[in-house]
Amino acid sequence: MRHARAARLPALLFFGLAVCAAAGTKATADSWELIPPNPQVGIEYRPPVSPQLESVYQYLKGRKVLEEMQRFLAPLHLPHHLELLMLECDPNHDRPDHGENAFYDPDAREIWLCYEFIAGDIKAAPQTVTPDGFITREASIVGDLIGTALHESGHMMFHMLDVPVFGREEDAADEMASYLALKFNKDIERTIVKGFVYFWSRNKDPPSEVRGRTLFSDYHGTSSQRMYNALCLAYGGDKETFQEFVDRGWLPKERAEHCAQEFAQLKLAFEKTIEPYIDEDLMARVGKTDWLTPEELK
Amino acid sequence: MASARIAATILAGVASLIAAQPSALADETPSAQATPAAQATPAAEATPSAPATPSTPTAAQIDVKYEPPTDPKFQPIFEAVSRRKVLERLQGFLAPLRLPKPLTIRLAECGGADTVPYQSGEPATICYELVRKIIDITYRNTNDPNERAQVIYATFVEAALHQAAYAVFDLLQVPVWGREDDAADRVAAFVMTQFGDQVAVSTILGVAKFFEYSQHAWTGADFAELASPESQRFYNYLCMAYGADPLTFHFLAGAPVPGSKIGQIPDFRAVRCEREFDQVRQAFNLRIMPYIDPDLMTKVRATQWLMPDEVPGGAE
Repeated sequence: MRHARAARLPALLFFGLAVCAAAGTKATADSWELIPPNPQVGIEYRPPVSPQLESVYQYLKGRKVLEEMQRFLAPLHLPHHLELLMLECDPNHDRPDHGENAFYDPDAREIWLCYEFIAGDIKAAPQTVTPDGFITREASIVGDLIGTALHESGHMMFHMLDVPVFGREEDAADEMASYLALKFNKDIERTIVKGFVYFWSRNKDPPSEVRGRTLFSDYHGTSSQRMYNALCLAYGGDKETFQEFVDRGWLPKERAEHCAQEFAQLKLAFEKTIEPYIDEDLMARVGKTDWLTPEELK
Repeated sequence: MASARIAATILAGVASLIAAQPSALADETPSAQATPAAQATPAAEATPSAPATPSTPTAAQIDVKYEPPTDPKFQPIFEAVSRRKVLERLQGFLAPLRLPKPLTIRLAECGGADTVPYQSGEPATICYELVRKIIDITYRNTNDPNERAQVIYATFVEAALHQAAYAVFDLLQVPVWGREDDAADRVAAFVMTQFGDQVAVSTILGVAKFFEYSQHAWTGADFAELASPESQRFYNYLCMAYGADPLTFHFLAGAPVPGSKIGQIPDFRAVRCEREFDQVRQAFNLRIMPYIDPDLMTKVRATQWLMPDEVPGGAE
């Protein structure tokens, strides 16, 4: 049984990592390839059935996205085996989401990253750059990919590590994605947040009146809520890097004033529930590693 | 499950302390701005007699305070709530909680705002403005005296538990994953489900009806707010209730119940509710239960906080 419906925005995390790795073609001192893969994490690229997804499959496989994820997760001590899968999720074309999704399946302990989801992001990305010149095609795709991968990793950690979750788990998984994003260097942080913003700002919120409340019965927040949450945690965790995002009016001033407190709360939660499972030396190496190409960092 | 029910009773006691005094809130008349749906006197509709204040241990770390309002329109609320010793009852109910620092819970004016964000080390505040709003919105939306009483009491209880949850998160340094305001809602709902069937049905549905009454249309930057839209909170509360007890709350899912006054949880959400509830229960047991004195908790649990005839009869 699927753990959650597609967590589209955050899902780009792993992918972003992978893309970054792929972009960094040479194994330098800071190359991701020098980090040992997590021994508890297996990977598999399943060839798609649909011919139109073949190019996405070949691109991701050649980019070694899952191999990067294996290494990004290296610092995490997992009590069970985790399988990372890239696959076509809707080969029979009978799913309501058309497979444009990503999941963590707690029963199988698998993270599924669907080719359809990545293909959808590639299709929706700006041709070159957004009209305001702020978000490039590469950043929107990679950022969303990494964010989604981190989001699903959040679900996985909550489950495998028996993390107490008082709030809504989908929001908690978004928070995990935001927090891990800030573990990268500032350039990668910006790319991931740009991917968040681009993806969520494309989706319109449902009308909010209670009379139309069925639309608000989902266990995910609305697109706007998720965008503001991601922006707020980024700003709260690194005001210097993300001041520009606030100055552009993407985050209301009233919310921005509260972001440092929100981030402090998230930091406390991470430190108390996740950090005991993390190898600090390996984590420091992950933070210094080049995961993205120069094009993806623009 | 037993330990969770006992633990939750501690916080739930707070709510029942308040709910045990229907007239504390219901004998308020709507404000002049409200358009009363009926002219019935609320006091006459509510259960008029309140039981004697239960004899419970006091919590040395918890102080309560009624700050006299400067705005005359809040004076009746001040008088009613303080006369009924609502906050003192809350104080007694929280006695089993072993807090590392003193906490003040107060009823106060908030400068026109419905709520003020809890700040670490500061008092937990229930605003007169919110109480006034609860009364006004309820009166605009229903003429049914039982339903008015149910919604007002339940929503006041929710406000108190919500603020108490914020303070507990802070004072116990609880790791909170997920938006804190939603987490406070989930803890409040969890506690409400521990009251026993009758009170759980009344409080959960009362809060849900208030969210339904609100009809606040959210647009644009509204979604940047710390609190979730009322329509999301509506489903979050119903889902916690259904997840806690699918038998008692069976009417919240599945085939629509003819004549029901409460909305239903869509199937795709309903199948997840038991897991949502268990997630909160496990988090509560792991992070809050260790700070609860089991002997005092037993006394609180044994206390008759809410008499059957004090539960408004608006449940479906």
